[in-house]
Amino acid sequence: MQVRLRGGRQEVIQVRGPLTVRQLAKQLDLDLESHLFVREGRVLTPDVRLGDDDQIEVYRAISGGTRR
Amino acid sequence: MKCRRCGEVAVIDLPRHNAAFCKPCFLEYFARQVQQAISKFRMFARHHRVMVAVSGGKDSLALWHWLASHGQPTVGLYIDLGIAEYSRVSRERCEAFAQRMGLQLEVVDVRQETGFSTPALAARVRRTTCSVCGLVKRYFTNRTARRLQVAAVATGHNLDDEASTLLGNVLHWQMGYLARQHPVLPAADGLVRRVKPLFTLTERETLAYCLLQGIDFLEEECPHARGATSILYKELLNRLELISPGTKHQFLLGFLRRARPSFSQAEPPPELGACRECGEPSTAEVCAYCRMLSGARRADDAFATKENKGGIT
Repeated sequence: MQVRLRGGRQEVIQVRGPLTVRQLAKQLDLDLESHLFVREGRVLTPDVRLGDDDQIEVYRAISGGTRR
Repeated sequence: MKCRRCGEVAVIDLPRHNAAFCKPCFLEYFARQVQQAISKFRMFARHHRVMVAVSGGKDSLALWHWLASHGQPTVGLYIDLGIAEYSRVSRERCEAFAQRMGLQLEVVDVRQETGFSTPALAARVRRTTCSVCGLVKRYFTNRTARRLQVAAVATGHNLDDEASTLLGNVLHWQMGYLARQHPVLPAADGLVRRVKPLFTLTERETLAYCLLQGIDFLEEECPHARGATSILYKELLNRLELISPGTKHQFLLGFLRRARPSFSQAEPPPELGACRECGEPSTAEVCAYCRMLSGARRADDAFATKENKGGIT
Protein backbone atom coordinates (compact mmCIF):
# COMPACT_ATOMS: atom_id res chain seq x y z
CA MET A 1 0.00 0.00 0.00
CA GLN A 2 1.03 3.61 -0.45
CA VAL A 3 1.34 5.63 2.75
CA ARG A 4 1.65 9.41 2.56
CA LEU A 5 2.94 11.23 5.64
CA ARG A 6 1.39 14.69 5.52
CA GLY A 7 2.57 17.93 7.11
CA GLY A 8 6.26 18.68 7.48
CA ARG A 9 7.74 15.37 6.27
CA GLN A 10 5.56 14.91 3.14
CA GLU A 11 7.06 11.45 2.52
CA VAL A 12 5.47 8.65 0.51
CA ILE A 13 6.28 5.12 1.69
CA GLN A 14 5.38 1.72 0.25
CA VAL A 15 4.29 -0.81 2.87
CA ARG A 16 3.23 -4.42 2.38
CA GLY A 17 -0.25 -5.45 3.49
CA PRO A 18 -2.43 -6.82 4.80
CA LEU A 19 -2.12 -5.27 8.25
CA THR A 20 -4.15 -3.22 10.68
CA VAL A 21 -3.82 0.52 11.30
CA ARG A 22 -2.29 -0.31 14.71
CA GLN A 23 0.32 -2.59 13.04
CA LEU A 24 1.07 0.03 10.38
CA ALA A 25 1.59 2.71 13.07
CA LYS A 26 3.98 0.40 14.92
CA GLN A 27 5.89 -0.41 11.73
CA LEU A 28 6.31 3.31 10.96
CA ASP A 29 7.12 4.13 14.62
CA LEU A 30 4.17 6.56 14.82
CA ASP A 31 2.17 6.71 18.06
CA LEU A 32 -1.61 6.59 17.82
CA GLU A 33 -2.13 9.49 20.24
CA SER A 34 -0.25 11.87 17.92
CA HIS A 35 -1.55 10.71 14.51
CA LEU A 36 -4.71 9.99 12.54
CA PHE A 37 -4.89 7.57 9.60
CA VAL A 38 -7.23 8.29 6.68
CA ARG A 39 -8.32 6.12 3.72
CA GLU A 40 -10.42 7.62 0.91
CA GLY A 41 -11.31 10.57 3.12
CA ARG A 42 -12.46 8.36 5.98
CA VAL A 43 -10.76 8.51 9.39
CA LEU A 44 -9.78 5.01 10.58
CA THR A 45 -9.76 3.33 13.99
CA PRO A 46 -6.69 1.22 14.96
CA ASP A 47 -8.43 -2.14 14.27
CA VAL A 48 -9.23 -1.42 10.58
CA ARG A 49 -7.51 -3.85 8.17
CA LEU A 50 -5.57 -2.35 5.29
CA GLY A 51 -4.79 -4.07 1.99
CA ASP A 52 -2.02 -3.78 -0.59
CA ASP A 53 -4.09 -1.57 -2.88
CA ASP A 54 -4.98 0.99 -0.22
CA GLN A 55 -3.76 4.58 -0.26
CA ILE A 56 -3.33 5.85 3.28
CA GLU A 57 -2.74 9.40 4.48
CA VAL A 58 -1.22 10.01 7.90
CA TYR A 59 -1.93 13.31 9.65
CA ARG A 60 0.25 14.47 12.55
CA ALA A 61 -1.80 15.99 15.38
CA ILE A 62 1.02 17.72 17.28
CA SER A 63 1.45 21.38 16.38
CA GLY A 64 2.11 24.84 17.74
CA GLY A 65 5.66 24.76 19.04
CA THR A 66 7.27 27.77 20.70
CA ARG A 67 10.98 28.21 21.39
CA ARG A 68 11.69 29.55 24.84
CA MET B 1 -14.67 -0.84 16.23
CA LYS B 2 -18.29 0.08 16.90
CA CYS B 3 -19.59 3.42 18.12
CA ARG B 4 -20.24 3.22 21.88
CA ARG B 5 -23.45 5.25 21.58
CA CYS B 6 -25.20 3.91 18.47
CA GLY B 7 -23.32 0.76 17.36
CA GLU B 8 -22.44 2.12 13.88
CA VAL B 9 -18.89 1.79 12.49
CA ALA B 10 -16.61 4.07 14.53
CA VAL B 11 -14.24 6.63 12.94
CA ILE B 12 -12.25 7.46 16.07
CA ASP B 13 -11.31 5.70 19.28
CA LEU B 14 -10.87 7.69 22.50
CA PRO B 15 -9.01 5.44 24.96
CA ARG B 16 -9.16 8.13 27.69
CA HIS B 17 -12.96 7.82 27.66
CA ASN B 18 -12.86 4.06 26.97
CA ALA B 19 -14.98 4.86 23.90
CA ALA B 20 -15.14 4.93 20.12
CA PHE B 21 -17.54 7.10 18.10
CA CYS B 22 -19.03 7.27 14.59
CA LYS B 23 -18.98 10.69 12.88
CA PRO B 24 -22.32 12.07 14.20
CA CYS B 25 -21.68 10.81 17.75
CA PHE B 26 -18.10 12.19 17.74
CA LEU B 27 -19.40 15.61 16.64
CA GLU B 28 -21.94 15.43 19.47
CA TYR B 29 -19.18 14.51 21.96
CA PHE B 30 -17.06 17.42 20.63
CA ALA B 31 -19.98 19.84 21.00
CA ARG B 32 -20.67 18.67 24.55
CA GLN B 33 -17.04 19.23 25.56
CA VAL B 34 -17.02 22.79 24.13
CA GLN B 35 -20.45 23.67 25.58
CA GLN B 36 -19.44 22.37 29.02
CA ALA B 37 -16.18 24.37 28.95
CA ILE B 38 -18.02 27.55 27.95
CA SER B 39 -20.82 27.20 30.52
CA LYS B 40 -18.84 25.71 33.45
CA PHE B 41 -16.17 28.41 33.23
CA ARG B 42 -18.67 31.13 32.24
CA MET B 43 -16.56 32.09 29.24
CA PHE B 44 -19.24 34.16 27.46
CA ALA B 45 -22.99 34.30 26.88
CA ARG B 46 -24.76 33.14 23.70
CA HIS B 47 -25.47 36.71 22.54
CA HIS B 48 -21.90 38.00 23.16
CA ARG B 49 -19.72 38.81 20.17
CA VAL B 50 -16.48 36.84 20.45
CA MET B 51 -13.25 37.52 18.57
CA VAL B 52 -11.54 34.28 17.50
CA ALA B 53 -7.78 34.56 17.06
CA VAL B 54 -6.99 32.42 14.01
CA SER B 55 -3.69 31.21 12.58
CA GLY B 56 -5.00 28.99 9.77
CA GLY B 57 -4.09 25.89 11.80
CA LYS B 58 -6.51 23.12 12.81
CA ASP B 59 -7.27 24.29 16.36
CA SER B 60 -8.23 27.90 15.70
CA LEU B 61 -10.23 27.06 12.57
CA ALA B 62 -12.01 24.18 14.38
CA LEU B 63 -12.95 26.63 17.15
CA TRP B 64 -14.16 29.33 14.76
CA HIS B 65 -16.10 26.74 12.71
CA TRP B 66 -17.76 25.31 15.83
CA LEU B 67 -18.70 28.69 17.33
CA ALA B 68 -20.04 30.08 14.04
CA SER B 69 -21.97 26.87 13.26
CA HIS B 70 -23.60 27.01 16.70
CA GLY B 71 -24.89 30.56 16.24
CA GLN B 72 -22.29 32.44 18.31
CA PRO B 73 -21.69 35.96 16.93
CA THR B 74 -17.99 36.00 15.98
CA VAL B 75 -15.31 37.98 14.24
CA GLY B 76 -11.95 36.45 13.28
CA LEU B 77 -8.57 38.05 13.81
CA TYR B 78 -5.56 37.05 11.74
CA ILE B 79 -2.19 38.64 12.53
CA ASP B 80 0.18 38.56 9.54
CA LEU B 81 3.60 38.19 11.17
CA GLY B 82 5.53 38.52 7.91
CA ILE B 83 7.13 35.08 8.22
CA ALA B 84 7.71 34.62 4.46
CA GLU B 85 5.84 31.74 2.78
CA TYR B 86 4.36 30.49 6.06
CA SER B 87 2.47 33.75 6.69
CA ARG B 88 1.36 34.01 3.06
CA VAL B 89 -0.19 30.53 3.07
CA SER B 90 -1.70 30.78 6.58
CA ARG B 91 -3.31 34.13 5.71
CA GLU B 92 -4.75 32.61 2.52
CA ARG B 93 -6.28 29.73 4.52
CA CYS B 94 -7.92 32.12 7.00
CA GLU B 95 -9.27 34.40 4.27
CA ALA B 96 -10.60 31.44 2.27
CA PHE B 97 -12.25 29.96 5.40
CA ALA B 98 -13.89 33.28 6.32
CA GLN B 99 -15.16 33.77 2.77
CA ARG B 100 -16.55 30.23 2.51
CA MET B 101 -18.32 30.54 5.88
CA GLY B 102 -19.46 34.14 5.25
CA LEU B 103 -17.66 35.42 8.36
CA GLN B 104 -15.92 38.71 9.14
CA LEU B 105 -12.12 38.52 9.33
CA GLU B 106 -9.93 41.35 10.62
CA VAL B 107 -6.32 41.26 9.39
CA VAL B 108 -3.48 43.05 11.17
CA ASP B 109 -0.25 43.20 9.15
CA VAL B 110 2.76 43.51 11.46
CA ARG B 111 4.92 44.95 8.65
CA GLN B 112 2.39 47.72 8.02
CA GLU B 113 2.04 48.44 11.75
CA THR B 114 5.74 48.45 12.67
CA GLY B 115 7.71 48.69 9.44
CA PHE B 116 9.33 45.32 10.18
CA SER B 117 8.47 41.65 9.80
CA THR B 118 8.48 39.68 13.08
CA PRO B 119 11.84 37.95 12.33
CA ALA B 120 13.34 41.37 11.43
CA LEU B 121 12.05 42.85 14.71
CA ALA B 122 13.55 39.89 16.61
CA ALA B 123 16.93 40.30 14.92
CA ARG B 124 17.05 44.03 15.77
CA VAL B 125 16.21 43.57 19.44
CA ARG B 126 18.27 40.35 19.75
CA ARG B 127 15.40 38.18 20.94
CA THR B 128 14.01 34.90 19.59
CA THR B 129 11.34 35.20 16.91
CA CYS B 130 8.93 33.18 19.15
CA SER B 131 9.30 35.64 22.01
CA VAL B 132 8.69 38.67 19.74
CA CYS B 133 5.84 36.82 18.02
CA GLY B 134 4.14 36.20 21.40
CA LEU B 135 4.51 39.85 22.42
CA VAL B 136 3.27 41.18 19.07
CA LYS B 137 0.28 38.79 19.03
CA ARG B 138 -0.77 39.65 22.61
CA TYR B 139 -0.49 43.37 21.82
CA PHE B 140 -2.44 43.43 18.54
CA THR B 141 -5.02 40.92 19.78
CA ASN B 142 -5.89 43.09 22.77
CA ARG B 143 -5.80 46.33 20.80
CA THR B 144 -8.10 44.94 18.09
CA ALA B 145 -10.46 43.38 20.66
CA ARG B 146 -10.80 46.76 22.41
CA ARG B 147 -11.41 48.54 19.12
CA LEU B 148 -14.10 46.05 18.10
CA GLN B 149 -15.57 46.04 21.62
CA VAL B 150 -15.94 42.26 21.75
CA ALA B 151 -16.91 40.48 24.97
CA ALA B 152 -13.98 38.05 24.82
CA VAL B 153 -11.08 36.79 22.75
CA ALA B 154 -11.23 33.03 22.13
CA THR B 155 -8.10 31.07 21.24
CA GLY B 156 -7.79 27.48 19.98
CA HIS B 157 -5.63 26.22 22.87
CA ASN B 158 -6.36 22.51 23.37
CA LEU B 159 -5.66 19.98 26.13
CA ASP B 160 -2.20 19.16 24.74
CA ASP B 161 -1.25 22.86 24.57
CA GLU B 162 -2.36 23.44 28.14
CA ALA B 163 -0.88 20.23 29.60
CA SER B 164 2.50 20.79 27.87
CA THR B 165 2.57 24.44 29.02
CA LEU B 166 1.83 23.26 32.55
CA LEU B 167 4.63 20.68 32.35
CA GLY B 168 7.06 23.38 31.16
CA ASN B 169 5.96 25.77 33.92
CA VAL B 170 6.35 23.07 36.58
CA LEU B 171 9.76 21.96 35.31
CA HIS B 172 11.00 25.57 35.48
CA TRP B 173 8.89 26.54 38.54
CA GLN B 174 7.45 29.55 36.77
CA MET B 175 5.38 30.74 39.75
CA GLY B 176 3.72 33.69 37.98
CA TYR B 177 2.71 31.58 34.98
CA LEU B 178 1.41 28.80 37.25
CA ALA B 179 -0.69 31.36 39.13
CA ARG B 180 -2.27 32.61 35.91
CA GLN B 181 -2.67 29.41 33.84
CA HIS B 182 -6.42 28.98 33.44
CA PRO B 183 -9.03 28.52 30.64
CA VAL B 184 -10.30 32.03 31.43
CA LEU B 185 -8.15 35.09 31.92
CA PRO B 186 -10.58 37.73 33.20
CA ALA B 187 -10.78 41.27 31.83
CA ALA B 188 -8.75 43.81 33.81
CA ASP B 189 -7.79 47.47 33.32
CA GLY B 190 -7.81 47.53 29.53
CA LEU B 191 -7.12 43.81 29.08
CA VAL B 192 -9.91 42.06 27.21
CA ARG B 193 -11.16 38.72 28.63
CA ARG B 194 -9.40 35.70 27.07
CA VAL B 195 -10.95 32.23 26.91
CA LYS B 196 -9.97 28.75 25.68
CA PRO B 197 -13.14 26.78 24.83
CA LEU B 198 -11.19 23.75 23.44
CA PHE B 199 -9.05 23.18 26.53
CA THR B 200 -10.56 19.75 27.37
CA LEU B 201 -10.17 18.38 23.82
CA THR B 202 -6.93 16.78 22.61
CA GLU B 203 -5.09 17.81 19.46
CA ARG B 204 -6.05 14.49 17.92
CA GLU B 205 -9.72 15.34 18.55
CA THR B 206 -9.49 18.84 17.01
CA LEU B 207 -7.68 17.29 14.02
CA ALA B 208 -10.48 14.72 13.68
CA TYR B 209 -13.08 17.53 13.87
CA CYS B 210 -11.37 19.36 10.97
CA LEU B 211 -11.07 16.20 8.85
CA LEU B 212 -14.68 15.19 9.48
CA GLN B 213 -16.00 18.72 8.78
CA GLY B 214 -13.85 19.19 5.65
CA ILE B 215 -12.03 22.24 7.04
CA ASP B 216 -9.06 23.21 4.88
CA PHE B 217 -6.43 24.00 7.51
CA LEU B 218 -2.71 24.71 7.33
CA GLU B 219 -0.70 21.57 8.08
CA GLU B 220 2.77 23.11 7.86
CA GLU B 221 4.35 24.30 11.07
CA CYS B 222 5.90 27.73 11.54
CA PRO B 223 9.58 27.34 10.49
CA HIS B 224 10.65 28.96 13.78
CA ALA B 225 8.87 26.25 15.82
CA ARG B 226 11.04 23.37 14.57
CA GLY B 227 12.75 21.57 17.44
CA ALA B 228 10.77 23.55 20.02
CA THR B 229 10.77 22.31 23.63
CA SER B 230 6.97 22.53 23.81
CA ILE B 231 6.73 19.89 21.04
CA LEU B 232 9.06 17.61 23.01
CA TYR B 233 6.79 18.03 26.07
CA LYS B 234 3.76 17.12 23.97
CA GLU B 235 5.48 13.99 22.64
CA LEU B 236 6.49 12.95 26.17
CA LEU B 237 2.95 13.49 27.49
CA ASN B 238 1.55 11.45 24.58
CA ARG B 239 3.87 8.57 25.50
CA LEU B 240 2.45 8.69 29.02
CA GLU B 241 -1.08 8.95 27.60
CA LEU B 242 -0.60 5.77 25.53
CA ILE B 243 0.45 3.81 28.62
CA SER B 244 -2.08 5.46 30.93
CA PRO B 245 -5.04 6.99 29.05
CA GLY B 246 -6.41 10.14 30.72
CA THR B 247 -3.02 11.31 32.04
CA LYS B 248 -3.10 14.70 30.25
CA HIS B 249 -6.65 15.43 31.43
CA GLN B 250 -5.87 14.44 35.05
CA PHE B 251 -2.65 16.47 35.04
CA LEU B 252 -4.33 19.67 33.82
CA LEU B 253 -7.71 19.41 35.55
CA GLY B 254 -6.07 18.26 38.79
CA PHE B 255 -3.80 21.30 38.69
CA LEU B 256 -6.73 23.67 38.05
CA ARG B 257 -8.80 22.16 40.89
CA ARG B 258 -6.19 21.44 43.53
CA ALA B 259 -2.94 23.34 42.97
CA ARG B 260 -3.64 26.55 41.09
CA PRO B 261 -5.54 28.32 43.91
CA SER B 262 -2.40 28.15 46.11
CA PHE B 263 -0.21 29.58 43.34
CA SER B 264 -2.74 32.38 42.70
CA GLN B 265 -2.76 33.33 46.39
CA ALA B 266 1.03 33.42 46.54
CA GLU B 267 1.39 35.35 43.25
CA PRO B 268 -1.33 38.02 42.89
CA PRO B 269 -1.65 39.53 39.38
CA PRO B 270 0.56 42.57 38.75
CA GLU B 271 -1.09 46.01 38.80
CA LEU B 272 -1.80 47.45 35.37
CA GLY B 273 -1.67 51.03 34.18
CA ALA B 274 -1.90 52.55 30.70
CA CYS B 275 1.24 52.78 28.53
CA ARG B 276 2.38 56.42 28.27
CA GLU B 277 2.94 56.04 24.52
CA CYS B 278 0.12 53.89 23.18
CA GLY B 279 -2.44 53.67 26.01
CA GLU B 280 -2.52 49.86 26.04
CA PRO B 281 -2.38 48.13 29.45
CA SER B 282 1.08 47.80 30.92
CA THR B 283 2.84 46.97 34.20
CA ALA B 284 5.48 49.62 33.38
CA GLU B 285 5.27 53.28 32.34
CA VAL B 286 5.98 52.26 28.72
CA CYS B 287 4.64 48.87 27.59
CA ALA B 288 6.86 46.00 26.41
CA TYR B 289 5.66 46.42 22.82
CA CYS B 290 6.52 50.14 22.62
CA ARG B 291 9.90 49.50 24.27
CA MET B 292 10.65 46.74 21.77
CA LEU B 293 9.58 48.85 18.79
CA SER B 294 11.69 51.84 19.82
CA GLY B 295 14.63 49.44 20.39
CA ALA B 296 14.21 48.05 16.88
CA ARG B 297 14.05 51.57 15.39
CA ARG B 298 17.18 52.62 17.31
CA ALA B 299 19.01 49.52 16.03
CA ASP B 300 17.91 50.35 12.49
CA ASP B 301 19.06 54.00 12.81
CA ALA B 302 22.43 52.90 14.22
CA PHE B 303 22.87 50.50 11.31
CA ALA B 304 21.97 53.22 8.77
CA THR B 305 24.40 55.69 10.40
CA LYS B 306 27.21 53.12 10.28
CA GLU B 307 26.47 52.45 6.60
CA ASN B 308 26.51 56.18 5.80
CA LYS B 309 29.82 56.67 7.59
CA GLY B 310 31.23 53.67 5.73
CA GLY B 311 30.09 55.27 2.45
CA ILE B 312 31.90 58.59 3.14
CA THR B 313 35.30 57.17 4.08
